[in-house]
Amino acid sequence: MIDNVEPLSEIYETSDSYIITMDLPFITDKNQIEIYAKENELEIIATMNRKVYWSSFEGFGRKG
Amino acid sequence: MVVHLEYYDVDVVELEPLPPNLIAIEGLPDIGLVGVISSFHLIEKMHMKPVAYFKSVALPPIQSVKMGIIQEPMAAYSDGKLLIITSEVPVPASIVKNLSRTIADWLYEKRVSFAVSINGYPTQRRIEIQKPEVVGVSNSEKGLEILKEKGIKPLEEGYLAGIFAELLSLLKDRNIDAYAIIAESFPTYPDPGAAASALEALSKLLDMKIDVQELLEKADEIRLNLKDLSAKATQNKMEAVPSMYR
Repeated sequence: MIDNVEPLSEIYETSDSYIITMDLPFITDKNQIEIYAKENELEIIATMNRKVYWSSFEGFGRKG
Repeated sequence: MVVHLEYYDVDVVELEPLPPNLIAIEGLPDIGLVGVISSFHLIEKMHMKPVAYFKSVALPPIQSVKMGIIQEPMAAYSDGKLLIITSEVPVPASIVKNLSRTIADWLYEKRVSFAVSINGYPTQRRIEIQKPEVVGVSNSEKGLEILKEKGIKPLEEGYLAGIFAELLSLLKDRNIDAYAIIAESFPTYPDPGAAASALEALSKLLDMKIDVQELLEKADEIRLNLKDLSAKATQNKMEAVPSMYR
């Protein structure tokens, strides 16, 4: 079972802002997302609304 | 910096004889994995079986396992009517040219009736789009008329880059009609919604019913499972494809 999945993300820079987009499968509600802005860091935690049974290790993946 | 790119050969290994006049569908990893998602949806819904696979020393040393048996990750599947070419691994930049040529030669040898590539085109505002738009491209005047007849809007002007662009041209050289169906897609995320739109256009082109409801229902699972392939496909595309000045 996956404990943490790093999402795909993109960061754009405009003249006055950074725009960050992330792909968050199994996230259907804004309340599932926590955002912590620190001095030089942005931490985003999103809890998926179902468990995913897929173990992936270096060179080996197992489903089920 | 000068990057020297080695080009590697690609071989086709056939598992069984194929009848002529199959309709070839190319859905190799590209923008939004629209082709891959569409291909595996068709393969699953139509209970297709592998009929050939592609080998190259440049492919990563990975094998899928299905029911205890290895399954080559870059393969062709068929149900006796369609011939779908797709991959569970990214296409390395070093085989894009040779893979395109190998596929074109193989489709010519197999006497397919025509070919369709399914792709995405990157759309920055995709998140605001409920139903991605689809455009079509053909490699012949006759094909363009068919696209219009089937209600698929032609891409008026632009440029194509990647295996499907190469295939359209190589198949034209071989007198095989070919089309590209291109759906608005997330630039770097797997996009089942774009695949659903592309399949709806494909169903018009082929005059066959394709149910996409299940695809949309499983969208989250698909996006999660294809996360790594999507990231690698995007990276490979950037390595393989130059910009074009217009």
